[in-house]
Formats: sequence, C-alpha cells, structure tokens
Amino acid sequence: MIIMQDKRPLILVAIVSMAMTILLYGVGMFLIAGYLPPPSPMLTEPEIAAMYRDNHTSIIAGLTMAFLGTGFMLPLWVMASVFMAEVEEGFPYFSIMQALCALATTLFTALPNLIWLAAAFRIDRSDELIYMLHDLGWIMWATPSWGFAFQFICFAICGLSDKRETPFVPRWLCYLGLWVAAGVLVTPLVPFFTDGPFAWNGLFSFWVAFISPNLWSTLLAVYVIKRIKGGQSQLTEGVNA
Amino acid sequence: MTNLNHNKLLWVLVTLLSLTALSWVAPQLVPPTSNAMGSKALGTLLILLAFSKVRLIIVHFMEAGSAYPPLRLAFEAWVAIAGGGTLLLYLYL
Amino acid sequence: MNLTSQNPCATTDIEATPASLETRSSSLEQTPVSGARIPGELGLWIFLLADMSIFALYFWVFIWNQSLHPEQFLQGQASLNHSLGLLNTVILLSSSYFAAMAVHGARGKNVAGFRRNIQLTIACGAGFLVVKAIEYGEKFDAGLHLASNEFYSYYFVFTGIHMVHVIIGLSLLSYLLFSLTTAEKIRQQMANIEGTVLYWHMVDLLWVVLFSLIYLLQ
Repeated sequence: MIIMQDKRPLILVAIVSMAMTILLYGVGMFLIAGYLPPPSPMLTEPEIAAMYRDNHTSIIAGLTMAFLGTGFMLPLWVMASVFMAEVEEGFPYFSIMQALCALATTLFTALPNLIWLAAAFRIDRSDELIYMLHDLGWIMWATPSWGFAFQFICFAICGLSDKRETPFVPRWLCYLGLWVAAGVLVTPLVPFFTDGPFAWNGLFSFWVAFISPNLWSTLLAVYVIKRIKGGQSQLTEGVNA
Repeated sequence: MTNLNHNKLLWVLVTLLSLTALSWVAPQLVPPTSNAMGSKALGTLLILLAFSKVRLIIVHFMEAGSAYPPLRLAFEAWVAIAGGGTLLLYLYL
Repeated sequence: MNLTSQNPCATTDIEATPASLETRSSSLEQTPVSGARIPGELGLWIFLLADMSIFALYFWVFIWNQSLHPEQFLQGQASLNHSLGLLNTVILLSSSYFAAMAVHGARGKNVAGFRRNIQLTIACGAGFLVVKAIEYGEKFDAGLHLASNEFYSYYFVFTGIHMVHVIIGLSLLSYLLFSLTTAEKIRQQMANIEGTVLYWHMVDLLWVVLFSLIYLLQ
C-alpha cells in the first residue's frame, strides 16, 4: 500500500489539467475544426477532399489545439492511480495498468489528429490520398477502446476492493464504470460498417461511447468536489488501512 | 416454507414457458388480415408477451418485487419505457 | 442463536450481509428499508439498469430499421432457425429457474442444493452457446455474415453482444462453483452469489426480448 500525504495540490493540478483538456480538445474538435460529431463514413471522396480544401486553416488550427489538449488528460488519470495504489496490497499492479492504459487512450486520441493534419497539409494533394488519410485517422480514433475500457475495469477492481470506512470512490460508481467499459467495447465493430449505429459516427460507437464516460466523469467530479468540501481527511493525510 | 418458495419459482418458470409457447403458436391463432391495424395485431401480442415475461423475471426471479421500493420502481419504469417504446415504434413506423 | 436458521426461505438480511458491508459508508450503499432489502448490492442494480437501457436502445434501433427495410427483414427472419431460437429461449428460462433455486439453496445453507443448481445453470448456459454456435455456423456456411445486409448485421451484432454477456455470466458462475464449497464460504459470499444470479437473470430477460423481436416479430 502506497500512501501519499497531502494530495490536495495534485488534485488541483489534475482538475485544472482536465479542464484544459476539455477546453482545448472540445473547442478544437467541435468548434474550430468541426471534426466532432464525426462526419459520416458514407461521404464520398470528392466531398471529403472539398472539406479539407475549403476549411484548410480552421481544420489545422482546431486539430493542433485539440492535440495539445490531449496531453492534459494524463495528470488526472495518474491521480486516479495514486488513489488506486492506496488500496492495492503489495505491488500496485492495477494502478500501473490503469496509468499505462491511460497513455494508450491519450495516444489513440492524439495520433489521429496528426494523420488528419497530414491530410490537410498540402491542398494540392490528390483526392484519393486525402480520403485515405481521412479514413485512417477515423479508424484509429474510433476503433481502439481496450485501453479506455481497461482503465475503467482496473479502477472498478480497486474501487470494489476498497474495504475502508469510506472508500475512495462509491461502489455504485465502480459498477457504473464497468458499464462504461462494456459500452465502449463495441467500437471494434467500426471497421465493419460505413453506416448505421456501429459506424464511427453511429449511435453506439460514437454517441453512447462518448456520452457515457463523460456522464461517469461528471458524477465522479461531483462526488470528489463534495468530498473535498466535506474536508475528508483521506485527501490530505493518506489513510490508515 | 422451503416448498412454498420452490413452488413459486416453479410456477413462474411454468408461466414463462407457457407464454413462450403462446408466442410460438400465435401466428396460427391470429389470422393475417388485409387492413393495416390488423396486420400489427400479432406483432403487438408478441411484444406484450415478451415484456410480460421480462416483468415476471424481474419481479419474481430477481426479487425486485420485494426489494427496496425505488429499485422496483426503476425497473418497472424500464419495462414500461423499453416495452412501451418498442410497441409505439412498431405500431407507428 | 440465529433465528433465520429455522426459516430457510426467508430472505435473510442478517445472513446476507457479508463482512464487506460493515465497512461501507452508510448513505448510498446497502440501505435496506424496513422489510425491503436489496439482493446483491445497489451498485450492481445500477449496472444492470444501465446495461438494460443500452439493450432497450438496441430493441428500438432494430424496430426502426425493420420499418425501413421490411422485405429484407422478413427474408432474413425467414432464413433464421426458429426452432433453435426457441430451444435457446427454453434453455435460458430454465437456467434462470435453476439460478434462482441456487440462491434459495444458498440462503437455506443447503450446500449440495446450491452447487447442484449452479451446475445446472452453467450446463444450460453452455448449451445455449452450443446452440448459438450451430446457428451461427449454419449462417456462415450459407455465406451470410455481419456485413451481408442490415438485417444480418443487427442479427449478428445484437445476438453476438448478448452471447458475450452469456460468456461473462458463465465465467462468474464457474467462479462461484469452484470457490464456494462450504456453508461458511457461501455465507460470506452471499452478496456475490445474489449479484451473479441477478446478472444471469438479466442475460435471460434480454434474450427473451431479442428472440421475440428478431425471430418472431414481423
């Protein structure tokens, strides 16, 4: 069991970082580049090439901003591992697993932006190549979910193993985390479909997989804020087992 | 008392299997009709039978029927919304 | 003296509160309200409700798409092996009965009864998977797969996701079977037993709807 003394400064850093992520990635992808919600896989080669050419500068600006935002995801997720490590006996296996999976999630979220930036980089590139880079980016963005799912599973395992008076996260939130993991694990179906609810812009592969973790994070944030306001000693002193 | 509980569970199973059998033979019982309303009668029956079975499982097998009331309410609401939504979509699309 | 030992069919709050419950904070966790209790634990019910809500979306998506491609769906449905679908329904309904009887046995400290019923539940679940494999095999042999057309994509994806749920359920049930061999262990793990069986009931009820919508509804 690894106990960290005063966790408040790091929690503050983690919360500010996540706010930066939401701001940079959200504004970048949704508003400036217009990449989210995802465009339909059914759009044709000329339509996609036109999208890149017509919105060249805003796409590059938005994607770059979003890319910067992805790095800020890590402080919060590593903070989760700090809490998890307190629960684990001996080597903090699940905490480390969660942190590594967080890195995978960050990379799979960030790398597609670089691919799309390459697509937008030269406006005189052939339509076919732009189309392929566009598809490559979306497949890379939408399909991998094992990292993200494993984060939730590791977190739930630690949370449910926490036998203390006040566990670091309520048990029902751990179960809900398992549900989020199950929900995102349908994304491997993305390469099969150019249309329908399992395509990269579909109801289940995008909307459910996007909304459910955000809903869960909001519930967790509310819980953490209540705990901080309540002056819980766990956050400042570490915990007696 | 042991037998009472056992019998209740057995009765629930028998009911579930009977409703399943009813769903299976329903196409023979509900003759096809030419008008739009009639043609959906069989489908309506099948959806209602399915969600009735679901409710039996929730209330008796899962014991939501004797559980903490808000829990029962939440699951009854699910049956109503999921079943009702399915039925409405089936009838009006 | 434990009063409940004379009344094995009562849902016993005392017996069903494993050690882990005593360490939990009060408010949102296990909060039995006068007479009414929560089998398993609250968090699990939240998980079940959330999972069932996703499946409700699956049901609605299926009906929606059926209305968009009525001929294709009729044809697809006709190509399914209805008898195997019915068999699977009967198998799962029976398995739910055995699972409920297993909980009943566990509460009554009937180790043999508990174990036998868990074995029967697992046997049914395994039977379901075998039938599913045969069904899928028939389709693959006919050259039909997940991307063949809309009907088959929904057929394979929805029944496939359900099948993954069955496999997870069987894993949990197998864990119970292999680890709970004495009355004391059963007593300590009562919440886990109830929780696993609740999950199994959910798997059953989801199939009940899937069977009606995919195999029978026109």
